[in-house]
Amino acid sequence: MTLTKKITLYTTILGVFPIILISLLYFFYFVPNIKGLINKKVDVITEVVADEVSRAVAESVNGVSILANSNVFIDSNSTKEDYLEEIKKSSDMYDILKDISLLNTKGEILASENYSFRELDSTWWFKEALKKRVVLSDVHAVLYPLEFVMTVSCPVLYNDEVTGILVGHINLEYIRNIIKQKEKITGFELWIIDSNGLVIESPFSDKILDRFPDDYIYKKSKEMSKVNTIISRNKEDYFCTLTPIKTIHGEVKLNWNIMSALNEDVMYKTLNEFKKIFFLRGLLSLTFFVFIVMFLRRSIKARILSLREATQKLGEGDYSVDVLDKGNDEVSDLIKVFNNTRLLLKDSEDRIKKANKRFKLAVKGAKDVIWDWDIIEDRFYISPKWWYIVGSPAVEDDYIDIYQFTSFIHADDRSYFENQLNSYLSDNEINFEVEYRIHISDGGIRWILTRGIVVRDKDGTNIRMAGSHTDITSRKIMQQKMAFSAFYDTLTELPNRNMLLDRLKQALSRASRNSNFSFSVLFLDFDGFKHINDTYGHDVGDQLLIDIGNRLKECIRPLDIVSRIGGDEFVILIDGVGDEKELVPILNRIIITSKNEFQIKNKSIFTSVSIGAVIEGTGESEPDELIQRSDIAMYHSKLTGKSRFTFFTEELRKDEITRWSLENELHKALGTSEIQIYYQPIINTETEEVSSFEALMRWIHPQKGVIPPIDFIPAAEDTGFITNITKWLINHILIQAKIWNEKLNDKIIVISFNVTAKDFFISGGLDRFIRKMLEKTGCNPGYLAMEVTESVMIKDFENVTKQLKSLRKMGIKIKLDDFGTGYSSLSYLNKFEIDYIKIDRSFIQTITEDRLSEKIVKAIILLAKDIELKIVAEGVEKIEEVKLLKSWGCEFIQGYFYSEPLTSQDADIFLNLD
Amino acid sequence: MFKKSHLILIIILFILGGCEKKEVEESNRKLKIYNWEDYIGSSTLEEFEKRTGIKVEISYFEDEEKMFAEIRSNTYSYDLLVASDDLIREMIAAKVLQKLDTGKIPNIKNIDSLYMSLDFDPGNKYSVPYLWGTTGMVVNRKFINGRSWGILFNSEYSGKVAMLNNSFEVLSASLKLLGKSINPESIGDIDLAMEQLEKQRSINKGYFDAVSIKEMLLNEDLWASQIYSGEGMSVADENDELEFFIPDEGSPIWLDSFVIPKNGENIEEAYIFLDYILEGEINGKISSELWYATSNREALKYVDKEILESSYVYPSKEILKKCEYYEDVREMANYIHMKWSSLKNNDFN
Repeated sequence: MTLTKKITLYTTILGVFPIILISLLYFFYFVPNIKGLINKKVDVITEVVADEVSRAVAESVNGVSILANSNVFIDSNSTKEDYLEEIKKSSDMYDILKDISLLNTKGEILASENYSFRELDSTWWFKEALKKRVVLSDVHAVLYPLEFVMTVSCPVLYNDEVTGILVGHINLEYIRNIIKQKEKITGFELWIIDSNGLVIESPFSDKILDRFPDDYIYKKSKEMSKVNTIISRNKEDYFCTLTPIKTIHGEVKLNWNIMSALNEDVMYKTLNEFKKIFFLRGLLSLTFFVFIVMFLRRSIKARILSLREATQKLGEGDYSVDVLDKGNDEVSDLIKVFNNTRLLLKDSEDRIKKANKRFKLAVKGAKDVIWDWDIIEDRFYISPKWWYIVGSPAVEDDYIDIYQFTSFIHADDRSYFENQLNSYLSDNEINFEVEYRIHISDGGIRWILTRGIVVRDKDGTNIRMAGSHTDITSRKIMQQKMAFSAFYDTLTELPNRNMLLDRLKQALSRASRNSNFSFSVLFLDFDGFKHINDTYGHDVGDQLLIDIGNRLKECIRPLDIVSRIGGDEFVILIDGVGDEKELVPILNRIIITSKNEFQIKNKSIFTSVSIGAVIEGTGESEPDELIQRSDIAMYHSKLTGKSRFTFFTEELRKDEITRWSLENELHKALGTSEIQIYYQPIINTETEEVSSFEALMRWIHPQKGVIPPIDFIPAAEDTGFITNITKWLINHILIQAKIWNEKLNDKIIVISFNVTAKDFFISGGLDRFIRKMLEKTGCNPGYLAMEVTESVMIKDFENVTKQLKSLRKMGIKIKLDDFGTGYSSLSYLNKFEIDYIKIDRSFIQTITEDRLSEKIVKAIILLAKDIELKIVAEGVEKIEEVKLLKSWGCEFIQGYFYSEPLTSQDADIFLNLD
Repeated sequence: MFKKSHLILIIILFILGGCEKKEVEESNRKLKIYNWEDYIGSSTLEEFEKRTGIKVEISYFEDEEKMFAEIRSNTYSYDLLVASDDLIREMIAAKVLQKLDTGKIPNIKNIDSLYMSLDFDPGNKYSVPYLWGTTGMVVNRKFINGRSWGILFNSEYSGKVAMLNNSFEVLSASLKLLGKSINPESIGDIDLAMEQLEKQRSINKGYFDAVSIKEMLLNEDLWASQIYSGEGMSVADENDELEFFIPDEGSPIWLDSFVIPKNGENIEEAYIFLDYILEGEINGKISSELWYATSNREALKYVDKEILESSYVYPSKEILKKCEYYEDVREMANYIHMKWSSLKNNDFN
């Protein structure tokens, strides 16, 4: 092949290949990835909408089921009017509910707001409710006035017998508004499709309550499966995401799918524009490239021909031929070199010297270590840079032998290196390349990449080998780190969920191949971890997780794995143990070791663990399923008293009620006398009289006895049930505040109550809810104070601040609760919408003993006075504490010294009202 | 050569196998119908099954309101329903019906245009007319004379009179007795009629479906009752002492139609059935057997002469003048229903 042909060929390959490569990369990597990202976003937003819809529906289900617990409905003395009054009270509280009615078990209406129910006993949901279930109906029509609604049916129980059914319609208009609002924000079309394939909500009102027009989505929505697909409408493609809702609350099902649709042109607008530019550029560069190749061919061919002629002559011994060339490119250089060759030949020694010098310079300047091994003599030249890497003094003449060199190599890698080298030398491979570790003088390790090439003589004997060493340590560390974080939890350095799933998969496939092999999965949840985090801060919480991880590792064999899959949840996989008897000692070990004291930052911390265990021998499960089952078993351990283990059984799963037991019980308890409100007086230090009460809740459980709020509020917060409790509480204390203040004419009594972060998300806002309840009860807002902790304010600063502002505007006072335990950032104090600071009991209890506490409390009081905030000290128990606090100018005191929390009747006495 | 013939054999076997399978699938087709009891010809379904291979599952309802509640709440699913004009009006509003593709029912041309596009379903988008009739009375002449709705309110016959289990029918009898239209003009009309019905409670044996009433009349458990014309005529045919008539005060007239509910599953089969039942001969036979008038022009050729000439099955103009169709009473329907449920839920003698 001629040189010009080669140039054309190679340059074409060189030019066209990258273009093809980039195109491939573009189509197979870039485009799908970007699309994936956009699709993911659509996915997430759809899920958010689904979540919001299900929360709204859940709230109404809660509303009806709380009302169903009302004593009025089971009291044989109640009249129709009593029923109706009770119903009206509830429907005022829930915008989303309407026409709540009480029916007897035959389906006859006992009390109703407007009799929109007909022949209810013929409906499946009424029949279900008779079986003591809370159920949601399909969307259906009520007539006169015609409306489409969904019905919540809830049994009214007396002595565990169904005595009636309470039903209420969910206002679809309300849900429609949620959807409309989200549509406005996102620009998506949002649809609700139920599991019958009927459209419940759509931007096109004529489609509502028809079958969904696209067959594929219609089918999938009946199956309630998650789908991403593209459907065409009016010749335009729409990207659709279908997300099922299913369960909203305990056993209650909402068989709806949320579907978002987005015009593909709009969705991928930027991407499509980019595509156009990309093609245009590709075309341009290709044309340009063809021109360059043609030019190169022309300019090189002629000159190469004359050079060939001259070289032939030179070969014949004619040194006189001078090739003429005026160019200044590489070919010209070649011609110049040719012209110079004669002169250079004359002074070869000079040239060698110069070359040698150049080599040394290159060696010095190179980033890599250069080496050159004379195999026959076993002299191993190594450039000085090497000694810089290993950190020891250089040898004098830069030469060592091969054994001296291999002695640097890490013992574990040495034989690997030698094998690689030997096989390279014996096989006829072209390049030698090997990565390995070396020891350096400070005891550390570095990663080296060695490249080399061998020179052989005519017989094929290896005579010399040369190449470079590159320090690739930093690259290696990066690689390791990346691999680590994908499969390990960065905090505890334990395997993470990914790794766990991978190992479970392996174990499962082993179990399916080998019928004798089985294994166990343990799900661990540490009791009260959230509390530890809140009390001692995240640093301590994080360290505790690390320590827990280490202890767990000691409880199991090295080949088993402990993984942390989130928060305080750990999962342990125990290979080859498929027998409860074998497993029990391990479980006991874990429980005992978890109970032992943890010493973190000079604090003693105690926790305990609840464990769920699953034994798997069939290999027919999915990894996620195993985790889920063990989670269910763990939950059972939690419910039955914590610090114990439970083996998973099918009954546990079936018993869905157990899973929701606490919540269900709470559900039932609310509205009955099981949950009681206590009032703890707060004393004005100047007048020594009651100025206000803090409302506190107690749950008097028929079996478990008194349950303090700390044990049920967090659980209620987790499930969102807290908002119902708060609503209930507010309703009651408003009435109580009104009663007290009507009886007292010379002063005002304020009742304060506590709220959680979730309460600020009551639909429509907590502020709006309180305003509504104030209007309803006719209570003066000046009788009310709300206690909020710092963490609640900071968690969602904007939203909370906005609501607090509007509450203060109404005249409600805001107290910053538990001050001193959270962030206690003084710089924030003036940014909060607050009127009072409540100093946490943990400070007060030590002021008489601990100089530091004393100083802190004094400083807080002074500071508060400075920025015109009032101070309440809580947890005050001793006279000495009262004296000190008074002397520092503390205005209000709460605590056992004055009074424990009182029932409303006892509070009457305290107020001299009786 | 051998191989080739082998291959052909295999192909033939495949084709045969395919055919067989297809036939099995065909015979799995079915159709679920929800209807009044005894409201279809005794051999109608059998013949349909024989002709098409479609298996018919028929269920009966006794109370239209309950049937509507079941459909509306998605409690049961059927492919075809029979419903009266006033109920279809509500069903359309409640969006529980499927729009019909009349292209699949060529025999719809057989329906007399008199019964098409009535105000409860303009353009027959949802319903296919079936039979029509009136709501009158049957009286045992051994015990009672007279031709008035008043018989049912007469305390002399206490415990021997009954009414239909349908809010609108019961109310209209009471309204007619008061000399008012069956379509009440005000809440006041309803209150008056309901008051009269409250008083009648102690006389009335109960509210029943037409088939039960028929039996009780034959046993002489009842001497007089409100009844639909078809059952009324047929019971009078069985016992000479019994007479069906339209009371002097007047009666409601109604048209029953077939509709396809939205949650139906065998829609194609429903269309096949509709086209079948609209055939003149099939339809005519039903009318003869049930003593109800057909809306099908072609069917009249096949209706028995005796039935065709009966002045109560195909009433004369004179009698028709006394009858009224139910109109849209919308807002008042809720009130009627409320009153009706309290009336119905009180104990009877």
